[in-house]
Amino acid sequence: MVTPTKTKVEQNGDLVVMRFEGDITSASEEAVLGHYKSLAAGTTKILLDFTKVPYLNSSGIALVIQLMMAASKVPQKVLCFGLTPHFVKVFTMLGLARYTTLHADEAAARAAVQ
Amino acid sequence: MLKLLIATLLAAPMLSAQVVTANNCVHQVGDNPDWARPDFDDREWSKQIPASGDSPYVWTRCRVDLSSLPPTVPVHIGVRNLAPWELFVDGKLAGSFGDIRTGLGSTSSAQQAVPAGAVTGKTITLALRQLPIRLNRAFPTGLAAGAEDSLQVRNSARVSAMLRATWSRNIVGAFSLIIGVLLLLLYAFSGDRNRRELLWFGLYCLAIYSITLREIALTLSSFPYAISVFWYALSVAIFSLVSPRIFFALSGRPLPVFYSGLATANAGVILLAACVRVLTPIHGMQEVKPWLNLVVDIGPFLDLALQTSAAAAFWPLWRVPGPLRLARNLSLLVLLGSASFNVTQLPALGLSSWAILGASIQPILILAATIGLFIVIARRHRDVALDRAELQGEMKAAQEVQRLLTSSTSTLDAAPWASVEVAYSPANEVGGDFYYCRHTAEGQLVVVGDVSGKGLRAAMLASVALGALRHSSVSSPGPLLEGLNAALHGQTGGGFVTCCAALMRRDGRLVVANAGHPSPYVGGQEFPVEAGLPLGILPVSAYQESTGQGESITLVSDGVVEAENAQRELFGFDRTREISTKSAQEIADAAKAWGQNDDITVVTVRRLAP
Repeated sequence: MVTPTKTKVEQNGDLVVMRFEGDITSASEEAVLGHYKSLAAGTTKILLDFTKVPYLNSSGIALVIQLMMAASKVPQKVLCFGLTPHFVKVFTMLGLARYTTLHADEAAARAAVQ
Repeated sequence: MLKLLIATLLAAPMLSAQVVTANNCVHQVGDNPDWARPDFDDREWSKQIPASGDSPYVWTRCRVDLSSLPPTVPVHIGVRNLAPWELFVDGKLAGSFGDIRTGLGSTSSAQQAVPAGAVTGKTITLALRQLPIRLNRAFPTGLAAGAEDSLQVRNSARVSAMLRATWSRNIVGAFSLIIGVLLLLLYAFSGDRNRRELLWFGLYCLAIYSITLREIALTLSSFPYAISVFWYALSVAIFSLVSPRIFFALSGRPLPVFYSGLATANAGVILLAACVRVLTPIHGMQEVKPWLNLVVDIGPFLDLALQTSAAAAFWPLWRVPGPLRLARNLSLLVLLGSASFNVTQLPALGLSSWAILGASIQPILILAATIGLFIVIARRHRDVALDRAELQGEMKAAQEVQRLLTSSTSTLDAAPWASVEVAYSPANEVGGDFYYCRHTAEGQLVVVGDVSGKGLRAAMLASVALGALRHSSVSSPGPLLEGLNAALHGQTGGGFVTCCAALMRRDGRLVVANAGHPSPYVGGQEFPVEAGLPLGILPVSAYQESTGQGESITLVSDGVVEAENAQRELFGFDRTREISTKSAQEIADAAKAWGQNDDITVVTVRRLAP
């Protein structure tokens, strides 16, 4: 049973934290890309919080990659945290090092973004 | 029932002379034991049933001349009243029905016959103490005296006349039952939960049937007051909830929050009013009754507003084929016309000529609208079923094409020194996984890929990837993936393709390149490969090759590691690694048994002994 994605955006100057909750699937376009597109101009750092995301399927990962690629063109720095060990491994396999870095928790991500 | 009606018709002329109807009755609000006395002076009492007063009780007094009755027959009194009552004959309590103290006992509009007891004179005085406070309005009292069997025959004649007079309403009820059940069966067995119009219109029809059935049941039998109230309230609440939903479902639009909120609030108020009507003590009913009457008065307007606005807004959007357009328009017009008659039935308006016209025409309008809408919905259901069957046929054809593509010898070209086994299980009719094996001069090449997403779109992209692989003469994994990336870029529609390519040489040396795919397994361990971006994201991507040695290699798609059980636990990388030395089919079966939710592909290549 897939749970719908909710997104909470916290803007603090040029830093934005996008907190996802629920599964990220093909139905999450608005939750991922829709919220990304509505970020304020001047945003340079984006933290993606996957702490409350139990599952991402390949279509959901495709949405996250689209976000990362769009951010790289601005350019904006994207950092991910809170992924389960399974999806840390999946993200690592995807070779996304040039688009993002993976961190265990928010504190580590905030430390890395400074 | 039929026998009773026949007996009634045969016996009615003979027995009608043995019944005297109580006319010239007078009424008074209040409660006084003296009002039962035969010598009480009731000349100041009203000839009309009073609307309300300070007391919850209403008394009715009638004088009945029994001189026309045969003197030897024991006299019975027939009483017909929805409210609970006590009957006094010449000052003595002769019988009662329902609970006169609370109003919560049995209720019925059927006639109850009670023995009058010892009657001394030619004229008797009947005093009926009633408790109509829980009803919308006082029910007209029917009192008659006569022999018991004559009263029964008279009552049967009345029931039969009532059923004849309301034949149109009863036919509507019967049709509504048949259509409602048919629609709900269609919804249950169609396998498509999006066909909500079947559900809503089915419930709508059953609500109409339920209201009709209650009226008949009250006429023929008796049941507890609370059941009577909640039966009606629940039927009307369902009616209110589903009627606007029908039009939105027919036009394929979601129900706006405003409509669902208003309909839910209306249904909630109806049910709340029913609770208040049942739970409030009779001495508190005087205070709440104006509010209950307000609910009764506002309900029809709200229903009409909801139905009219929903239908009017979505009428043009409700697409039907040309010949059915007339049925659609007529049925909607008729339905709205019928709903508008609800307003004319308001107690506050009295029995106007419009109300009389409405009461007689409304059932016919409802029947016409119900049948019209049913025809259109049934026709639409058939069209959707035909479209679906056609689509399923096309999906079957696509499945067959994919099966031919993936199972042809050009896809499974094994070296004579190698054993290649494939297990492929799409999650839907067609899958987004693909595999490719080719015996080249350098060794045995094996490729497993996975298009993001599922279904026909993913399957078509998988076919594009397979076509590109077939036309490639490259056998080195890194350059092979780079060429495949170039072929797929711009065709993924925002998605991507993960892919792993491995080359096993005859001496067991392995060369592997990976584009975002799960790493292969060699000798029960994950083979370390350089991570690479999935295919189709960038126009140009480079893929590093990793080398190693092994007697066998197992490639899997993410449908294995992301198989999910009922507790939402993934099969995971560790379990996959633990069974990675097993056959392809065993690995796929283990993942499927865990809980398949994506395409599953497993390819194993084993080097045969020289």
